[in-house]
Amino acid sequence: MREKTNDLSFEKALRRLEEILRTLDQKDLDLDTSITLFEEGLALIHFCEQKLKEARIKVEVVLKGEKGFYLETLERAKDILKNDNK
Amino acid sequence: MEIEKLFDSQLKEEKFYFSVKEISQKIKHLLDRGFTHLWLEGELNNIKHSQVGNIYLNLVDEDATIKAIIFRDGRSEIDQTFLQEGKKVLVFGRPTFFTRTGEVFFIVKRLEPLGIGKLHRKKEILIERYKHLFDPNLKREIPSFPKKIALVTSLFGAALQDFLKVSENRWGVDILVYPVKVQGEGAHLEIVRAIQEINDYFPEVDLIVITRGGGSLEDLAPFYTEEIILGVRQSRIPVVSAVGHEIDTTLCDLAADKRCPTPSSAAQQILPSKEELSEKLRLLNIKLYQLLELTLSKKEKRIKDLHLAIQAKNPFREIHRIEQKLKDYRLLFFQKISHILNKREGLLTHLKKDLQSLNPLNLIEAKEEKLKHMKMLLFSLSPYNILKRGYSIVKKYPERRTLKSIHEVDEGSLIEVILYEGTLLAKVEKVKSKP
Repeated sequence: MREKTNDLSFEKALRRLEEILRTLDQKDLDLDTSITLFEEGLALIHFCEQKLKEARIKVEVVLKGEKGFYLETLERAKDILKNDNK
Repeated sequence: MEIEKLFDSQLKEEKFYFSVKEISQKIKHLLDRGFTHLWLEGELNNIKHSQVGNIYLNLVDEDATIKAIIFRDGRSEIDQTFLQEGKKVLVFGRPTFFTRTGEVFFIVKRLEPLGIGKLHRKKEILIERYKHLFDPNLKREIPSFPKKIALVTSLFGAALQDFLKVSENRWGVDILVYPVKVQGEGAHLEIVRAIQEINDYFPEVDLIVITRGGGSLEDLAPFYTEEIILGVRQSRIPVVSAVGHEIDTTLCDLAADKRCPTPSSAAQQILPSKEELSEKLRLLNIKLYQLLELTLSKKEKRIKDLHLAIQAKNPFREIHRIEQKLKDYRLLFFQKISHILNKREGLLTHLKKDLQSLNPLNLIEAKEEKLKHMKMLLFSLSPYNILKRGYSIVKKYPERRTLKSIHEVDEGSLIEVILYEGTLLAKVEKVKSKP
C-alpha cells in the first residue's frame, strides 16, 4: 500500500515507482486505478527529486578514547592520529 | 655372501633378467606414480635454451641438484624475467624419468620468485581450505541505497581521499571512517577487529568498505591472511573489498560480498550517482506519462469501437432510412401532382375565358342597349312628337276613331282635336271638299 512520504526512503519510493510502472503496463487496467497510480507516481518522482537535491555526504572518524569510542571530524582525527600511521 | 642371497631370491621371479628398456620404464612408472604435481623451492642454475625451444635448467640448494626442463609448449605460462641465474624461485610441476637419456627431470609448469611465490602458495592453500566460504550463495546483499557506511582504511592513504572525492557528488550518505593500519605487521588483526567492532558498536552501519590503494605484493600481505577471510565472513554487515590495483585479487576480495578493483570504483559502485538517479527519474517520469497516455488511448479506442458497433446495430438507422425514402417519395409525389394540377389549371383558365365570353349578362346588356336604342328610335317616330310642331290629330267623338277623310263626318258632328298640350272637343260647322 501507499506509504506516507514522511517516513518513506528514497529506495522504497523508487521501488514503489517501478511497481507502479509495472502495474500501469498491464492490460485491462481500469481507468480510475490508472489515474490514481499515475498521480501517486508523479508524487513519488517529486519526492525522489527532492531527496536527491538534499542529499549530502557526511564524514566522521571513529576514535578510541579512555571512555570508549568517540567521533571526530576528518581533519581533527588526522591531527590526533598524525604519528600513528593509521 | 649377501649377493648370493639376492641371487637366490631372484630365482623365484619369473624373469631371468631384464632389458634396460624394461627397467627404465619401470623406473619411470614408479616416479610418475610416486609424485603428483608439487611446488619445489630452489635456486636457478645453468639455464640453457635448446634449439627446439625447450629450456633446460638446474634447481639447486646446498646439498642437492635436480635437472629441470620447461617444455616449449609450457613457456608462455612462465614469466621469463624470473629466469635468472642464482634466482631463488618456487617452481610447480612434477619429476619424471627420461628413458632415452636415463635422467630424472623436473617438468616445470609454473615459476615464481620465492617471496611472491610463497605468498601465492599461501593464497592457493587458503583458497583451497576456505573455498566453501567463497561460495557466491553466501554473499550478503549490498544495499542499493546505503544510509551509513563504515570505511575501514588508513586516514593518511590515497584510498580515503579517492573514495571521498568520488563520493562527493553522489548519493548522500553518512561515512564513518574507522582508521586502521593497512600494511605491515599486525595490520590484518586491526582490520579484523575493526570489522568486529563496527558490527558490535555501530549496528546502524549498513555497509563496511575495506579499502587501500595498490602496493607491492608484500604490502598487500595482510589481505592474504586467514584472519581476514574469517573476519570478513563473520561480519553480519555486508562487506565490500576494494584493495590494491585492478589486477590483484586478494583473499579479502574473495571473502567479501562484493569486490571493487579500486577505492574510486568502490565509491562509484556503492553510492548511486545523483546524475544517473536524476536521469533515471526523468525516464521514469516519461514512462509514467507514456503509460497513462497509452491507457487513455486504449480506452478511447475501445469507446470508439463500441460506438461504431452500437451504431451498426442502431434501430433508428433503419427508421431514418425509411424516413428518408418517405421524404423522397413525398417530393416525387408533389412534383407529379403539381404538374397535373398546373396542367388542369391551364385548361380551367382557358375554359373560364371561354365561359366568360359566353356570359348571358353580357348578352342581356347588349340586348338592353339595343332596346334602349330602339326605344329612342320609337320615341322619335311617335306621332305625338309631330304635335309639337303644330300638327293635330282629329278623332270622331265619342267613337274616338281617327278621321282620315272629310266624308266620315257631317255637319254638326262632334269631333275631338288632339293638340300637343291637350284636346279640344268641337262641332263641325261646314264640310267643304277640295276643289
